[in-house]
Amino acid sequence: MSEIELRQLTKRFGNYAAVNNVSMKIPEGEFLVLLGPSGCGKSTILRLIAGLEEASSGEIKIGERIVNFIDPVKRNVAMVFQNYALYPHMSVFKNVAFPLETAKLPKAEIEVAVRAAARMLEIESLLDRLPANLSGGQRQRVALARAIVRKPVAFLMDEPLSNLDAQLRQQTRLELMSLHQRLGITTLYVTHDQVEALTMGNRIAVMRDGIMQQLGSPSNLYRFPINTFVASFMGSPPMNLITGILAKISNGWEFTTEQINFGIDLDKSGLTASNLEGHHSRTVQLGVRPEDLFFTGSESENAIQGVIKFVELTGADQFISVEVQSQIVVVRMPPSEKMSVGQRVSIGANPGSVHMFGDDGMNLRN
Amino acid sequence: MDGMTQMKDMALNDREPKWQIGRRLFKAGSAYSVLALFVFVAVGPIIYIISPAFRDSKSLFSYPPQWIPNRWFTGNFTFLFSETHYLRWAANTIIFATSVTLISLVIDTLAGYAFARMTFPGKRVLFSLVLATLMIPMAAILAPTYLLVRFLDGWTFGLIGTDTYGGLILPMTVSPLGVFMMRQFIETIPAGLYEAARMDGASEWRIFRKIVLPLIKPALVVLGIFVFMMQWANFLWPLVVTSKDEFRVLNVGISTLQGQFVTNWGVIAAATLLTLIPVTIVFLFFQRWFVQASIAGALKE
Repeated sequence: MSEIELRQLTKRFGNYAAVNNVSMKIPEGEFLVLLGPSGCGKSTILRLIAGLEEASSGEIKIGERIVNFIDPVKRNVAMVFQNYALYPHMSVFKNVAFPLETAKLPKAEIEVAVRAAARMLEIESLLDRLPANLSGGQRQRVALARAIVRKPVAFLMDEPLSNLDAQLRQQTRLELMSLHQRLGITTLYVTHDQVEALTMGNRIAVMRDGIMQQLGSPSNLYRFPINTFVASFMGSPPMNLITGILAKISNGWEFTTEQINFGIDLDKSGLTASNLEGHHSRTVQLGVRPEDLFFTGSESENAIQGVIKFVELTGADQFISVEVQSQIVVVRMPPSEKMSVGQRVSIGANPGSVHMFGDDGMNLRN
Repeated sequence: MDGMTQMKDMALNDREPKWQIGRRLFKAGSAYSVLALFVFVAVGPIIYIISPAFRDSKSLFSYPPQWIPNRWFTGNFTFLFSETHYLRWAANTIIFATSVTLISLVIDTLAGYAFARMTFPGKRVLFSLVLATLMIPMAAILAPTYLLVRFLDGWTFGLIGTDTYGGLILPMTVSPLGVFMMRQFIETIPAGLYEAARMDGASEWRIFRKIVLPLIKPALVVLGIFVFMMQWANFLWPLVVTSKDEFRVLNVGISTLQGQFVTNWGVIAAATLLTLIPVTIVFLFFQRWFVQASIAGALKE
């Protein structure tokens, strides 16, 4: 177990920077999730740490060592691949034993280590089978066993759940978390699924176009997204973003569009006048999460008028899509409320949950 | 087999109108006659040599022709073993075909692996050159290869040269087709397996031995049988490079039985028949593998 540190890590493929100047420190035992859409460079970071790619510049430190030019196996990290990468011609036992046989450990020792790993992942009864005769979930466990058996200092997992069906994915997610709790091994976990990221990570690093957008705890990222990208990537459905103009008026600040005049409560929203000063009469985006919106009377202060376009029931919640000036605003409601398409409604927002994003997409808070 | 059950089904199915049964029988029947014609064309010559192999020279040209010999004559075979070097030729052929097969399998898999998985300067140019040699016919390089082998005679302590096993075998082990085939097959192995093996600490050689070789076994069998049968039937190169009888292979040896004025066709037929047997057995033995492997590529993934 070791901490991992990336210092100004950059990987270029030709002129294209797949990973651009990323720095982060992953303390020992942490479960860090790299989150982002496909092509954002998250897998490349993993491959750089694993040693499957060579960094263009910057440093990778595992424990006390700078490992940039060290062989993958000597970095002593284990990787779980998206498609598991089990050796198809070897039995489960042989698959798990392969890294140990490569390291030329004595046979008896290998036997003990493989059995221990198999017991931990409950695949003891499968040891004689070939990967082709295993289910997706079982293959996943074998891949994990092969990773564990080497007693690595860190786990690198590249979308390990994406090949499983929804139900199995949830179950395996819990198993991965309990495995991490038991072993306490530093884990880097790559995913494009924000639900996985929110539920599994001690911290999440959100990536986009090779650049790290924000690094923080799941709740921090969810409640205080640093820019519109993080705001709309986290949460399902994502944060509502409405484009308008920020205006300074006699008694404070106001977000305005043709039909909306939304007064900003500086105290409750955590914004300060100096945050907003530079954006007077410039384009901004108002961001509110669906759960921070509610329906209210049409006369109430700051109410936004609109017409219901869709009603989606998910079981525990219903999501009401309201058209406001040709933009869609989603409101989360308990399913007991009866709403119907075409209905005219007024939306109110919890003033403490309102975000303002500047024309560069950055959160104006700070 | 399928057609047979189909025909049985048709006969049993009495709800079908009679004219329809007739039409179906006619269809199946014509399919079988076409197939039978092709079988006759393919197998006919082989069957044709069985009869003369067991007749003496006088009865070969008797009229009316004897399709089935009146008397099973084994003198052609005894002549072959006592008066010619048939056994020596057979041994040479086995040594020649087996060595070429084994050596070219080693070369082709290693070269194929390098072209498929490794990065090195000039890789694309080299591979293009390998492919380009595919287009040069054997006849065009026959003379230069012969000259090269004769030249090497004085430099390799008699290992490679005319009338040596080295000279006979080595030039035939170069097969761009084999390199190309192995490269294509190795490329179908998912990159994730190499990366997993690298993460597990395996060296390039260990990856090749433990991961790649077992996975390309079907391709090895196909290429092996292919090369073996080609070399078993090879005539031109062994003819050119050997002049002493003790280095001749079967095909060349049999051709020397054909005299300028008198040819004992019975002996030639007997020799040909014997020559066919081993290669037929090899093919029958591996046939299942062969078919499996050649469709494996098409069905996988």
